[in-house]
Amino acid sequence: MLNLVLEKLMIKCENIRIENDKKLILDNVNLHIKKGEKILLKGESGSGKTSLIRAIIYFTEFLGEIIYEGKRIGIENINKYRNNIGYIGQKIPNFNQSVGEFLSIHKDFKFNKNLKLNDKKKFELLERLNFNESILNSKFNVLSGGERQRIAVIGVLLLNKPFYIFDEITSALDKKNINSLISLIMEDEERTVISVSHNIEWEKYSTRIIKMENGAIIEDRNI
Amino acid sequence: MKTGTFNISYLSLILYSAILIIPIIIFYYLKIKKIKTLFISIIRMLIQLTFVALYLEYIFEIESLIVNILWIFVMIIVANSSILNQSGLKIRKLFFYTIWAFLISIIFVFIPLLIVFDPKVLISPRYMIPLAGMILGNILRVNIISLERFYNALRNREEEFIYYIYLGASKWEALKPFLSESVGSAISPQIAMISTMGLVSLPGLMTGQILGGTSPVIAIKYQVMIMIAIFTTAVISTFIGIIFSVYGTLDRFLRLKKEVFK
Repeated sequence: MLNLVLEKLMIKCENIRIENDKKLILDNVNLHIKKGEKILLKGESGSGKTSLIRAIIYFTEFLGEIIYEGKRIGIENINKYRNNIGYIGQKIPNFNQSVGEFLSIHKDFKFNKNLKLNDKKKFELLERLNFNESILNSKFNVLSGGERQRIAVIGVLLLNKPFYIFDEITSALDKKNINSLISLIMEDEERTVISVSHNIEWEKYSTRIIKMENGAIIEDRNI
Repeated sequence: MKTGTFNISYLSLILYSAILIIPIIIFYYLKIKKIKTLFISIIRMLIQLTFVALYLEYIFEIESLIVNILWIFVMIIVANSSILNQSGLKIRKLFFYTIWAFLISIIFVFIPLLIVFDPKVLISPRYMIPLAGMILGNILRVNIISLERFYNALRNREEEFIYYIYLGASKWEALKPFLSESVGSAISPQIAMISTMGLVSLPGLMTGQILGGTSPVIAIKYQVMIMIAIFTTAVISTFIGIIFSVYGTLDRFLRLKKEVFK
């Protein structure tokens, strides 16, 4: 009981509705997410998973509200909100320089100017995902789809955000790499994670499983 | 040296047009359904050029700077609409964003021409109108390519843009790779054109001047000047053209507005 009281609400999605060319994509979805929850979002293709994610990251037009740590998200605080989130979508960016440079893209952005990241963390993450350090000199674009997904995850984990959103980031991975990747993402108890995936491996590491169908949540259970 | 251009008779022009039968046969054979479009285009060209000829006769005669500027302004308006339309964007939604880019580009390139020409010469319609026309024609070509590339890339690879935003990039930081790709791809044919100039193509300006009886040495100087002007405008206009358009195509949450695309 005490535990429940202490569980802090991180984000509330209230009545999220998306219509596209008069087709209902999301039908008044309500979702409350607590700090530290590890959510797996599943469902058939076209059930509305990616649309819900797109609404949460504010990259689609929708009706309804997103409330983050008690504050309604609008134009006045969108940047601050986005800075709390790490996101990887279904398509990993094209990048024609080395993996090392890919993992340093964030340094080009003014917002990260004062961010001090040590290389130790980078090497540790590479090792955890079964990469040899020499990968840093490889061209990012010549890597396989699965390798690129894993490198992209390292890229966002380095920034150590409180809230991570992943959309089908293990679609090109084999079982061994899936497990090392998911456990790396999920091991931090403080970290809140939503992951869209068809892959059953995520269930082992998730604390909550949400199933969607026809733009609505049809199942929501804690594990 | 004989000066003045040999006059072509209307009859000979009509007779010469008969060679169009060859492309028409090829179109017919390859089932390219452009024969009707071709005829419409030719008729449009005839009407437009007739009007321009009449209009130019008139403005050459009255020699008024205000009329010249108005005429250039009309050209910019037409170019702007044509660029938006051909790059797949809605004129109605973006007209007042991109027009400033082309206006600014023209001004930036035109004013330094005062180093080359005496002001009186530059503002005379015989110089001002053709120079502006050549520069604008080029703006048209490069901006259609750059805007089309930019928005195709952004629509197909929006996730890449979002990825950068969530890595802490500002709007412009996240757009920079797309911007550099599309400006680059619009500009590289320009560079190729400069480097093969005289070998592969004898440019229109030079040809015109030589036909008009100008000495080739003078014609070359004009050509070099116009190439520099054209190239500079190409880079400035594609760069700021995209930047200005972004104010009309992304909303405040940085989402692409669907309604601006055709």
